[in-house]
Amino acid sequence: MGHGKVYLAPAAHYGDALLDALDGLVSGTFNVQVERMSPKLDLAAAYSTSRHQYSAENLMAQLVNIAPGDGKILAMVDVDIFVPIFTFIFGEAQLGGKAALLSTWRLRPEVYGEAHDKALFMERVFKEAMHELGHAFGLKHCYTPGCVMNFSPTIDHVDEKGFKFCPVCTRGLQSGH
Amino acid sequence: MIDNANVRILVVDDEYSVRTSLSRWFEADGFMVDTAASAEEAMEKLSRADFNIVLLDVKLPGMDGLELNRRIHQVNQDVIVIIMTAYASIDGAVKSLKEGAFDYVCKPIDPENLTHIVRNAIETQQLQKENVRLRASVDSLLSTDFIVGESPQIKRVLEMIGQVAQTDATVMIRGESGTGKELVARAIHANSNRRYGPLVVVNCGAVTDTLLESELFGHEKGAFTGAVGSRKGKLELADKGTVFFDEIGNITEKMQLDLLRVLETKEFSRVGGSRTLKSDFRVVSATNRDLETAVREGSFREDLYFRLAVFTIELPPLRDREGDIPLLANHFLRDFATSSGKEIVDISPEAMKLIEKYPWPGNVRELRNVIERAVVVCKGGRITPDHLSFPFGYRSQEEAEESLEAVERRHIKHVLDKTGWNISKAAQVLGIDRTTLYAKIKKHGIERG
Ligand SMILES: [Zn+2]
Ligand SMILES: [Zn+2]
Repeated sequence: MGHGKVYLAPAAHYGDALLDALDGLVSGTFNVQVERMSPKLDLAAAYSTSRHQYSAENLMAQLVNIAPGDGKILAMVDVDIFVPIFTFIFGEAQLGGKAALLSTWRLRPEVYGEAHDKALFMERVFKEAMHELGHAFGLKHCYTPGCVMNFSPTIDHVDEKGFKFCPVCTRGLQSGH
Repeated sequence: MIDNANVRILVVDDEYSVRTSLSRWFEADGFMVDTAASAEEAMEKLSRADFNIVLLDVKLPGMDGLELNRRIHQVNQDVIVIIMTAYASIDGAVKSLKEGAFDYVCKPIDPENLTHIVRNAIETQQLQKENVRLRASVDSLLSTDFIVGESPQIKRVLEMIGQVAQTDATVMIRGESGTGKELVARAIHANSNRRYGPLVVVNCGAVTDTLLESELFGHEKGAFTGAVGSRKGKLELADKGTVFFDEIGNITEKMQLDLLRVLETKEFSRVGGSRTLKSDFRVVSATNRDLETAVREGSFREDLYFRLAVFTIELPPLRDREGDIPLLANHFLRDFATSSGKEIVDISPEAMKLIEKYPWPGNVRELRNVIERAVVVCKGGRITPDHLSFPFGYRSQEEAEESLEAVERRHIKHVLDKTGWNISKAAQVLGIDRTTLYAKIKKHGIERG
């Protein structure tokens, strides 16, 4: 096993198929040990009555508090999150830090009026989970076509890119260890 | 690809959360970001460092964003300002566009929209910079010594440069020695789509076949005696750029054939090598020989000639450039006076008369040399005939009746005799190169003694 630990912290029900696959992907890609935990996140405290969305800043603050000391934590919430200046965000991470947050809400085809599609949803979750963890491991956005560190302002952009790191980002991950 | 690490963004907003999320957002994209909580703080930061983009909130305590936008554009037209506004105050944002803002975004910002606008902003700025660079290169060209001038002849040359630069066609520049052929080649390259590629100069006049061959095509280790290492040839180095063949009229028949093959295929191999190399280059060449005659006489291949001269630019000799001689003389005077720190105001009418009468066989280069020498001997004030040293006692009176050809012949012979037929020295005095001098000696049938 690798040197570090990543805590996978789903704050909603995702099913074992998705989580097990994500476990494998994370441990294989980042060369870390993956542990599962259920995060004690107070979603109600993060709710904004004016935006009808959940504050990513509030959630990140909670996350930093509950993060175990011996690794990085990726929390997954199934609500729409925002920061005041943006209409929404898919996720947020401390660059080279320990906490990363992913909202799976806008990764669901249903949100865009499309039919439920489990495979597509899983693929999107993998991509954005890898992306946010990439940030937590110190990577910035990348312009190599297809690289998972491409910034995706819309769901179409998410679908266009792959879930792998390009050689440059891979090297960045290795040197960051 | 633009490197975001070279782009500086200033985020101006009084809300702490906006400053932090935007700077984090831009930092994740690799930008350099700074923030300011007020217009005053922003102005302070703008005065200390150059920013490419300012993201500016309309509503600020104290001076508001619209006023700051105005002030920024009074000082610096190059900064790109993107206004952030609430829907309620969109009118102001629209107005700010007329006052120089690049675009505006509504709060809360759609991330896709912001990505788009920022990318647009950077590309626009890049383009502006490129245009400035291009303008500067054309300006500097217009002010370069050899192309200074108002005559219709030189204006025609500039026009031609503009016409051919953007094409990929071969260009043949023809003109006497000292007329500035290499400068024209540089101008063509600088204004072409290949301007970020190399401009490689090959002087065909001064070298033997074997040397030229290895210079052009490169060689492998041990290809000939003295070839200790392998070396890239100039054609290989000119990939994505321009090759300038100076004095192309001087190459031998064997070289003409080699060159023709390369121009047809853009393929070649190094001397002593077997690998076929490819290179993407444009060819500009120059000659002071009358190549048409050479073609007719069979000393220059017709097929090569046509390949090299899709366009032809004729550089007029200085004596044919109506009105340019005094212009150039004054231009050089200013130049040399400034660089030597001498207070020389002008050229006396008598001196100017001599300058205008002289046939200038060495063209602009010779004129430049004469003025330079005049500035050296002049102690200040004005240049008089005493300061002018035309090579070895040129006397305009006697020669006024002679044809140009005769004057040139006599002048060259005179210089040769004075220098004891030291070709290098004579060429230097005449302000022409040795090859040209040889050609002129042959043309005029000048003999020693
Ligand atoms: Zn990201
Ligand atoms: Zn990458």
